Amino acid sequence: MIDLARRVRALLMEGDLALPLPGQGATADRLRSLMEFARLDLSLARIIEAHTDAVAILAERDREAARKLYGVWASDGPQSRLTATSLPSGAWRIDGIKQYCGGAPMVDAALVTAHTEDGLLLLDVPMDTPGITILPSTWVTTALADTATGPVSFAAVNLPGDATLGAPNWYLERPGFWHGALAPAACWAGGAQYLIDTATNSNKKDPHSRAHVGALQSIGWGLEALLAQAGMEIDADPSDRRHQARARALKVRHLIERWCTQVMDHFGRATGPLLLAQDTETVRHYAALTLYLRQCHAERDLETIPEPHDVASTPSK
Amino acid sequence: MTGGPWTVGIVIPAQNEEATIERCIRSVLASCDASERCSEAWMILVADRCTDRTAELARHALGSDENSSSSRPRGEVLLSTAGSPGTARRLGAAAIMHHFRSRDPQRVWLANTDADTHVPLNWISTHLEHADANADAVAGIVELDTLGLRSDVHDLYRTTYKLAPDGTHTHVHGANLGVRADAYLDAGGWSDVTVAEDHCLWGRLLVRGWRVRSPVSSVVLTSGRLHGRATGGFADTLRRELGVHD
Repeated sequence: MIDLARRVRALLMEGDLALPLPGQGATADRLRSLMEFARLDLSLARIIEAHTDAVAILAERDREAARKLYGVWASDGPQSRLTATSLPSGAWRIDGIKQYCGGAPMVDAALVTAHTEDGLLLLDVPMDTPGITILPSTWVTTALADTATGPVSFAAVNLPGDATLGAPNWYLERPGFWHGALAPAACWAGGAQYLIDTATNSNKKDPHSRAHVGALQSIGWGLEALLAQAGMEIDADPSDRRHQARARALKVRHLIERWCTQVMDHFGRATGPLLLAQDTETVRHYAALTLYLRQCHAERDLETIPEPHDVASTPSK
Repeated sequence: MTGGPWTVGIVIPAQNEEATIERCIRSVLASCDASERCSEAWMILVADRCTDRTAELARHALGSDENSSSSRPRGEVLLSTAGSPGTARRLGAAAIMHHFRSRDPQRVWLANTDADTHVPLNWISTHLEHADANADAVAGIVELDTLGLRSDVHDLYRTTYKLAPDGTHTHVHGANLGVRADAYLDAGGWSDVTVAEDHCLWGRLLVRGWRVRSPVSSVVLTSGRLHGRATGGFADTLRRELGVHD
């Protein structure tokens, strides 16, 4: 298998990463494409997911990615925090360390979040800007290791004034943020589809294995149907006038995470230990899916789905 | 290893390709006729959301229109509303499988190209040479037809389209992809996607352990005009790069 960076470059070069943009009538196609890339390889899909998210974000600001490969680095926390300082010249200075930078050594540019006094900014940062250092990866697992995800240091990185995309907090407040939140779920679904394909092809004849394969194929259909429906709903209300984008994204992410977890359970029961111990591609996909699913925020997201008035026992003072 | 002659099924998706479709079909049929290893061939042209004369011209070229003088049609036209090259190819391949349902899938070669493309006389025979040498799938290259081509397009193509010195390459194009029918079915067939359906199929063939070849000796020619059939695709990349809006 050729290495990931070359593979992504070839796809980029041949125009195969030019997915339909979200909310323009073919969102279901977009999600299906991401699922199909993940069905091949979850590392490949993770890089493509970030790049296509960046292309969609840039398009919202009438900008193009040209032929550059992009990452989106928006992890935020005490250990992962950039600050943006406005300079008298109108330029920006970026400092700090950003964690979980996917594809750091292979991308040409990244959209990164950085804090200002006025809120969170999104900036378009070319990787050849002086002051950017890719730090050694802290990855121990082999899962998704080829995505070269790790910390990146920004030390007095100077960017022109027009490096910002939108006003402070625009990145998080736009409906596109929630449309884009479905993309990782489409990738999880593709990882599950690989396991479903493999269990189907293992051609076990015993009735219990066949029952598990039946359950797996049912989930496979459900994953496709769920993404198709979510895509249609986004196209019906791309600017989110009905304020459903956030809850929809969290519901879809939850359901897909649950189904993928069930797929891993059924898969082992259907096929036994052999593939999980000895088949390179099965081991790769299974491990990658296990880790990728943890991008779901689980109960921390679920508890925010019900509107306050949905909870009957809300105490009132 | 040689196991007798091949049955060849050709699948071509088309979205409003009336300018190139006849040349495409004629070139493919000629390459079938020119191959000694090809004992029978059948073409499925999938006219996907066509609003021009693509389907009509294709039927005529295939001898499958009602008042055709030809006694034996060489294929048929399917009308699709999918609006997706991946889905169109999938439908076409299913129609080939149906047409050749009585044949052994191990002796059926599925050859795929595009409607804005034409193929050299040795196209099918080159695919079948590799098939005879135990290749389960062949990914060839795409060259730009230089006739009437803007020189900057050709220059860009030459500098960006990379080939390896050992006579292989890493490109995968639906416009030049052949696969044995049993391998195609095992890999799950074309994906219902609007871009990169070729890479998706190729990747699954690899993962499933089928023997694939990527010889630079297999070439097709695509037109230099700059509107591609798919939303993405090679023509789109060239157009964006050159800032052309035609």
